[in-house]
Amino acid sequence: MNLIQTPLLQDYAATAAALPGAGDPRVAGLREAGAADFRRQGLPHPKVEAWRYTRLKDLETLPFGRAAAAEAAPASLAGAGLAAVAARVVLVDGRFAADLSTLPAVPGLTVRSLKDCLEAGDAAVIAALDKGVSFEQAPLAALASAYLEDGAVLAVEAGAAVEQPVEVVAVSTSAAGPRIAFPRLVVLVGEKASLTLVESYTGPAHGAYAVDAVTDIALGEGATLRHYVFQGEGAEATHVSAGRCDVPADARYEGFILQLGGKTTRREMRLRMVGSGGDARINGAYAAKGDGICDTTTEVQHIAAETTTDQVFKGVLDNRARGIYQGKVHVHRDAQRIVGNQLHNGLLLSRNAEVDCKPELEIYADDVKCSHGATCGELSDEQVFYLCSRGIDPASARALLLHAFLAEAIDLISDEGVREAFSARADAWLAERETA
Amino acid sequence: MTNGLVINDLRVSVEDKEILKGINLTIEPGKVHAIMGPNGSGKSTLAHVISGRPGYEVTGGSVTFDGHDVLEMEPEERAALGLFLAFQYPVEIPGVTNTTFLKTAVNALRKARGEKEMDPMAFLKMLREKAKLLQLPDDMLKRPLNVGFSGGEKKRNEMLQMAVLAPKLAILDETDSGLDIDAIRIVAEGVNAQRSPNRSFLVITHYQRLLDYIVPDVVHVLAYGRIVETGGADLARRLEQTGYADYTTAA
Repeated sequence: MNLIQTPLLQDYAATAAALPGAGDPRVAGLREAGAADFRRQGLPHPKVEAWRYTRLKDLETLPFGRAAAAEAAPASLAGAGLAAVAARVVLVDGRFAADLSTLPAVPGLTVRSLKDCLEAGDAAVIAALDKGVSFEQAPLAALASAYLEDGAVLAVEAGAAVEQPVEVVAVSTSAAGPRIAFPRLVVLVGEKASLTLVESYTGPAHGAYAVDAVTDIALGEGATLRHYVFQGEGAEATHVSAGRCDVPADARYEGFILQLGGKTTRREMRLRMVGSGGDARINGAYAAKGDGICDTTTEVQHIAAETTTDQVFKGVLDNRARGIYQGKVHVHRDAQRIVGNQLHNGLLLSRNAEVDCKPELEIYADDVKCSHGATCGELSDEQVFYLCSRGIDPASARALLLHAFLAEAIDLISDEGVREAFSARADAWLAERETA
Repeated sequence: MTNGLVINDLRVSVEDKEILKGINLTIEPGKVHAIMGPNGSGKSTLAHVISGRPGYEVTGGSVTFDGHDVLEMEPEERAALGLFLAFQYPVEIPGVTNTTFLKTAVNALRKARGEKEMDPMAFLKMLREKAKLLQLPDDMLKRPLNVGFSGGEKKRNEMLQMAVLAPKLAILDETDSGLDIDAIRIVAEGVNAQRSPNRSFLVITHYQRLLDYIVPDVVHVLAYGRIVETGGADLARRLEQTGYADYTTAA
């Protein structure tokens, strides 16, 4: 198999020497490992099973270069449109923008720039960046590590509860020529601490750009993380992301991924259930139109016994758009009495739309409860007629049914403010579709 | 212009098979008409065509309501005109609560009639009052539309929609089917409470039982796509004795 040629990483040697913490062998080692991984794998290739359905065409064909420090101010910092946040961290083209961020003192919460942490050689942060989860089959995450430069580090001290959402708004700016940004997040939640985190990705409405995001999460025992992602990139954006989180004993991870933007997008979340009593949800909703490709890929490793995971994803596809859901659940030999469920429902609004759904279960323990379900259908004429017969016009009837379809996933978000904001974003997508 | 529903020589086919073969029927405001008839006579087809359900081909005749050409209108326009169909098989809609659905419908109708949206608090108050009359518990208003409702609950929910949307003509398509006698009584009370000089009803039923509770002004017998007999409330009682055998053999 030939590697796909790309100019990406050609400037690596010259660039890496000037990046923060270049003199620290631990930091330089992370970059070297990322660069080596990316050189070996190249851009994602459709012959690799994990990338069979999603080809990053723009990255293959356009001369992408690493985004330099922003020249223009971001168009909007609205992010997911949350009514209230405890703090708002703004990353512009991947770089921590203190002047644009709103960082009041929140008890138990520390927000730093990743750049500062790399320069200071912060051991906990470096450990979180290098916790041994392989970037095999995640070449873009390897590329992001090669260019490791800046981002945000959020830390909640043991026992502290940060209930109101902390939002990280990662915004891309318009630049001459297609540029790729590497927003990087490190999230450290101490023992029995809790945090509500919203990651929001937005950028210029038009023009090709790319975002290669990586989020590394370290949870303490008994910690709770509500981790919500809003991907609302511009119409021509390529967005690839990889998140990693180990869920230790009695910890709870509640994830939700809302993907409504971009041209080609892929969000990956990898969870390892490493302690008994750990509980994780990864739910999500997405909508794509035009020639959009919207991929959500999850990988759950049940390593410890008595761990629970649950996934519910719902997607709406219009025009020639494709939705992809790949959900891998790997139950290790000693992971007895675990529960692992996943469900994907696709709704096609056009004859040319497509859903590719691939559940993968690998089970080596014998006392487990695992399930997976997938459906794919169209809006029901019966339902539309029923609503119309009560006076609701067909466009509103369809919008109501689509809202209801996505709401069944969005309603799983436990934070009320986030749930309302995400629901409003989804409704805006549906309203725009009706008027298009 | 004739007020109320006027059906003139209505002919309807489904997949090239003629189901209605020239229906003539006039329902004046305030009147309750019943249509009875054997299975397959075209009763539900008539209800569906009046409400605008897709899948039927009108090959001849006309349907007007208050002088408007109903057959030229979309289903939602017919609803705005004041037509309402209580479905024989109400549709389940997950994710849309009963309350949201009814609020959307009420405001859609008001908008179509050039009226202002209803105040949300006033709407909720009205909704709870109507639900109470039909003995529908409050939690059914919060549940997704018809999802997990029993057969009786679904039919009562249709009556709730009728009460809230306040149509000029309500068509009840075998609303009594699958209901026990208590549920039939509740449904009938709901209908009777709605009877008024400017609201008419078309009650479609296979059995006479419902008509013990909703006493019709006029009863029609539909067989093989035609109205073969018209009479008063006593016609329904007579049919209960003789059955439909006379019509099925005659046709």
